[in-house]
This record gives sequence, structure tokens and C-alpha cells, in this order.
Amino acid sequence: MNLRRLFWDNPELRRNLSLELTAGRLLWTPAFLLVAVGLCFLPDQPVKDLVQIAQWVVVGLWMVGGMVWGGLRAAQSVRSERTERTWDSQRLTAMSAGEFAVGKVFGATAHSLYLQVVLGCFWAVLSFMRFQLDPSETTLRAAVIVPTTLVVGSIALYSLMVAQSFLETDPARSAKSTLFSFGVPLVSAIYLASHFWSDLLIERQGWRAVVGDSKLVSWWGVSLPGPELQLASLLLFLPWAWFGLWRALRRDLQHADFPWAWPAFLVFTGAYVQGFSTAFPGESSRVVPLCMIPLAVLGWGFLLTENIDPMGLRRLVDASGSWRERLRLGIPFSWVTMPLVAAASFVAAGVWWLGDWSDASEFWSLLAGVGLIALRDLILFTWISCRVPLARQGLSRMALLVGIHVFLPVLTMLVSVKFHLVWPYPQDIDEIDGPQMVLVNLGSLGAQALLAWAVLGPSLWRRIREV
Amino acid sequence: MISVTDLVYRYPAHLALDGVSFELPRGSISALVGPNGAGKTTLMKCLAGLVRPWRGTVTLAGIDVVASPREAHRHLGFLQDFFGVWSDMTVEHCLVHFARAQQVPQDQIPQRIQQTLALLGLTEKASALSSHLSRGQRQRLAIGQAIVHRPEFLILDEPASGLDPEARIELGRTFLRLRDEGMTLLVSSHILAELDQYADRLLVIQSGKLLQSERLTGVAAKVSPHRDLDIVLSSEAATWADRVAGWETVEAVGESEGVLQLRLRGSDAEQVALLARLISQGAPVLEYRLREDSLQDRYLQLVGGKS
Repeated sequence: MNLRRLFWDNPELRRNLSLELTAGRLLWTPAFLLVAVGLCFLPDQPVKDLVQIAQWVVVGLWMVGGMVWGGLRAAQSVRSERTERTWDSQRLTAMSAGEFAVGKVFGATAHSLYLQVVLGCFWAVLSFMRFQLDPSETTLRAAVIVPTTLVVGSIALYSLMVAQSFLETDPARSAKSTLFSFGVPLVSAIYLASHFWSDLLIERQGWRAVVGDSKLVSWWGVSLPGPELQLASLLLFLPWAWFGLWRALRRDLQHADFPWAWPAFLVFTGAYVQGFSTAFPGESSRVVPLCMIPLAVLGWGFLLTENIDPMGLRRLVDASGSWRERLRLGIPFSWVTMPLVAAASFVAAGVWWLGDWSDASEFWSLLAGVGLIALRDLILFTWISCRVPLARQGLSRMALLVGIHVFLPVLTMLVSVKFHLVWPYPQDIDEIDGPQMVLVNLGSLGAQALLAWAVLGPSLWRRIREV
Repeated sequence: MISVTDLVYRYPAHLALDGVSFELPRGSISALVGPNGAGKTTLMKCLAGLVRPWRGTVTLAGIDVVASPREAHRHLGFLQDFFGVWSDMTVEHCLVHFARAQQVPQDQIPQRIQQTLALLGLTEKASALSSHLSRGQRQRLAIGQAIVHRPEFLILDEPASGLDPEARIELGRTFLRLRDEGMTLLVSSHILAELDQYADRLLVIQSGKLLQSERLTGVAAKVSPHRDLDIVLSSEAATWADRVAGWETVEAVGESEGVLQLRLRGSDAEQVALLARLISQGAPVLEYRLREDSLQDRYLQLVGGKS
């Protein structure tokens, strides 16, 4: 990798920097921020309190100016080029996907990054002042952790926003809409998930014995305080955000896809979540399927949101009979994720079942049931993607989701029929045990999956062949 | 040389390109013509590596465009029918960006910029914001962006649309200058009379199929084993028509309002010999001209015959 070409000689970065960092902005940005922070020191209160207020103001400005404003700029960077029809000219140059990625993430958001640098300087001064007044370890840690988390979070958000520009299929969708419906929730989810785990593991009464009074979270045997764990989590996923952007760019530039990228991300995420199971020594078998949570969330998430183009499927079918060419074209995320969910569910169910039959009689069938549901939903939602007009797909997906995962279970519960016949979730029927339970618990789900494939499969195939 | 083999591209319920194959030699200007929706733009995008064909190969200077689009872009310039230029950048800044993006060596960039500005007549506008340019000037800037790295191939989709007559004539001259510098151009346009000015090859595409790929000589005269001549006589045209009908190189004869219309088999030598024979036998020749099909005639003949 040519780092000089990637940064110093990067034409897109230089173009954006020259447009973003004008002399006026370079002068007025620190002046404005200085006034905003300076106003915090006007009230007649103890200096310690004023410094704390100023620090909160800096964090607020960082969130608004650094994350929201910068995120918007990132989301607009490619979108505006597409609107103004300059993007195809850029695509016809010899610039690499890496150069575009750096140029967009650090160039289009240069003003926001400059603002963050200035705010970082203010934060350093305020932290120094606070440390003079309150020389505690907490103050020292906050001085480093807070700005680092904000910078890492911003860059992850920018990367996701630029990447999302390539995946966006609705040209009318605004950058603001993309930011608030996709970017902010995703970065917040990573942060909040780690916060949730640390909070849960530290504060819950029953688990305090595990983590003791240290307020440290155990993750793959490494003990970390909550804020450090959250920062580490963002740092762990930042390369994936970059990789996602790079991959989206490569696809847009007509390069070959990386077929292993998506499964690798899922395995990585599963391993990340699984790391928290080490907080339960001796009970690891109970939390083995922890890694299934992100797998299922991402799997169904993409199944609900991904627009699977029947032309893309046709192209995969017609790819000269070459699997290499098919992988190069890029298989829809759902078609990678959901079979993975199913496979992982069956493997986990098998391991559980073989390990401890009596203790795990409920859980192994739940896992196997998830796998069958994944297979059933894969064909149902793909069929909607290919058969229902684009404008009605969102509503159709939501209606189907509510119907089969909420309405039907509630209905069966209300009428008290034999749940396992229609219930889309595996049942635990105490009075039945042994091989008979396999049939009872999973028979209905297996039949549903089989029926869905038998009925919708040929229809989907016809649709693919006729486009 | 651009070589296209069995190119197929599909849109929903529509085959945009259906087994298109052709070759374009270096240093030529080829006119790509066809009705709306014939597949011209899709073909150009496939050539430029902007879209991936369903089947087939595109080779450009020995580079497989489908397998290595970025490598091919270093040898290629492409002006799309709907193009954009950055309105907040100056003409020079736009060109510098594309020169850098195409990896023109840093020390050569100022010279390339000056050459490109001069070639396109934009030297005086170098420091103007592109938002302040006229439509024709923006068009030339977009061409400049596409050629600043001196590509071997230049593809232009409807480059003259929206231009006034003067700007169109100037654009044609620019294309001839680029060809003279060794560039190979493929130009799509609906304005056939304009293509007549500079094109030396004709590609006709209809419903995704290539109807014809042929070389034009002179101004749109197709290479053919025969040529049509109009000979204006001051008198006795009908008599002379009867006399020349039996000559061995004459394939067909007609007469209309004093004009003797001959279809001659052969090349320049036979044409010279025919004129010499007419004059030596006392024909009162006032005017003697080769009757050429215009590119428009040729196009209508091809498309009309197939539709």
C-alpha cells in the first residue's frame, strides 16, 4: 500500500481540503468556539463547577459539530457528486478505492475534523484545569477517554455514512435522513451495546459475584472498566467500518467483490459478543449461544431492509456457470447471513443436544427452531423483494414480520390451540421427551420452511428467469 | 485498438446489447448512431468499464476492461451525455485534479494543463469558476477533464447536444485535432450531419444489435466496388446515355434533366479513364461529380432496411 499516495498525494483528499478548509473557516471556527466556551466562565460560581460546565459544553459542541455536522457532510459527499453528475467522471480516473475512501472520510469532513481538533485543544486545557482542582484518577482517565471515544466514534460514523451513500437505492432520500435512520443508530448501537454489557455485568445483583466490586468487565479474560471497554469496542469495529466503505467503493468501481468479507464480519461480531461469556466461569455452556445474538440481529436486519434486485439474482444465475464469477459479482447479504444463521443454529443445537440432553431439553430445540425459521424467512422475504413493487416492499415486509412473528403467536396463544402446530417458535412440552419431542417441537417449523420453499421457490425462480 | 466481442447487457425485460462485436483501429473517429433506446449509451458504458456486461469481452490497448477497469481508465477518456463539472472549482483546478487523479507525473501537470486549455480554447478562462462558464465552455472543460492525461481512446456520448452551431463546428474541429494527435474517438450523436464532418467509421446499432460497422472514406462515402457519378452535359444527355451503356466499366446508366447518371465499376483509375473517354469522344461535359451517400442516407438505408 502506497501511504504517500493514500494521504499526501491523494488527489481527492487535496481537492476536498482546498474546498473545506478555507481561510475564513480556519479563523472563524476557533474564534466562535472560544467565545462559546468562554461564556461558560461568566457565571459567579466556583471555578471547579465552571470548568465542569465548560467541559459539558465542549462535549455538546463535539457531538453537534463533530458527529452530526460531520456525519451530514460525509453522507452528502458522494450523494452530491451523484446529483451533480461528477461522480462518474471520478470513477473513470485511476484513483483507487482506498484513495477515494480517505479522500471522502477525511476530506469531505475536514471542517468538522478541524473543529474537533480545536475542541480537543480546549478539552485538554479544561482537563488540566480540572486536574489541578481535583487530581483524581477519574479526572485523568476522562481527559483521555472522552475525546478519544468522540474522535473514534466520529470517524466510524463518517465511514459508515460514505459507505451508505453507495448502498442507497432511493435517490430522494436525504443525507439527513440517512444519518438519523442509519448512521447514528448504528454507531450508538455499538456504543450502547457495550455500555449495556458493562452495566449489566457490573451492576446486576446476581452477577456482581462474578465481577466482584472491581467494576471491571471481563471480556475474553481481559478485565476492563466500562468506559475503556466501550472505547475498545469502537476501536475494534472501526476497521470494519473502513473495510465496509472500501468494499462498497470497490464494488462501485467495478472491482471484484470479497465473498468472505460478510461471513468474516459475522464471525468477528459473534466472537466479540461471545467474549462476555468468559465472565461466567463454570457456566460457559449456558452462554455458548451468546454469539448467536448479533448473528440473528444482523441476519434479520438485512432480511428486512436489503433490496434484493431480481436482475442481480438473474446475473448470479447466468454467471457462465462459474462460482468464482458469482462470488465476484457479490451475493446479497441476506443470502449469506441467513444460511449462516441457520447453519450456526443447527450446529449449536447439535452441540447442546449431544452435550447435555436432560438439562438442555428446552434450549437445543429453540436453537434448531431458529435455524428453521431463518430458512423459512429467507425465502419469504426474498420473494417479497423480487415480486412486490419497490414502493410497497417496506410495508409488505413489515406486515409479514408482524404477521408471522407477532400476530400468529398471539392468536394461537389466545385460542389455546396446540401451539406447536402453528406456533412459529419451538415449543417446550414437558410431557413429551426423547425423539418424539424432536418431531413435535420442530415438525411444524420444518413443515413451514418446506412449504415456503416448495410454494415460493418456483415462483421466485420464474421471476428471476423472466427479468 | 478497441476490440469488442459478443457483448451482452440486460435490463429488466429488455436486452440492451445482444452479442455486439466490432473493432476500432487506432487514430480513427467512429460515429455510433442508432435510434433512442438502441443501446448506444449502455455500449459506451461497457466500453468505459462503468458497468459490467453480462457476457462478452472488451479489450482496450490489450487490457481486458471487464477484468481490470481501473487499469483501462488510464488509457481512456469518457464524456457522458449528462455530465457535470464542479461549480465551486476553477477551470484550472478541475483540470489539475483530473491530471493528479490520472497519475500524470507532478512535473508534467502544468504543461499538460496549458496544452489542454489551448487545445480547447479555454486558456483565457483558466481562473474562472466553472459555474461562470457557458454551456459550450463547460462542455469543453468536461472534454478537457477526460483528455488531460492524454488517453489513447476517447468516448463521447452526445457531445454536441445543447451547443449552438458555432460551438458544434468548433467541437468537430477539436475532435479532428485530437485524432491527428493519434487519439481514437468513438462519438455518439443524433445529429448525423455533424458526424459527417469528422467521422471516418460508422457503427449502426438498433435494438441492441450492431447492424453495420464500416469504414467511411472522404466525407461519408462508403467503400464499395462501384461508385455513382453525375455528369452534367450541356446537350444530348439522352443520346450519350445510350452510347455509354455498352462501355465495359459502366454498370448502369440513367438520365435526368440533362444529367447523365452512371454507376461505374472500379476505382479511381477507371473513373479517370471514363472521363477521358467521354471528352475524347466529344461529350459536352459541364460538370463531373461523385454522387455520395451522406451518413444520414446510409444510416436511414441501414435502419430502414432492418426495422
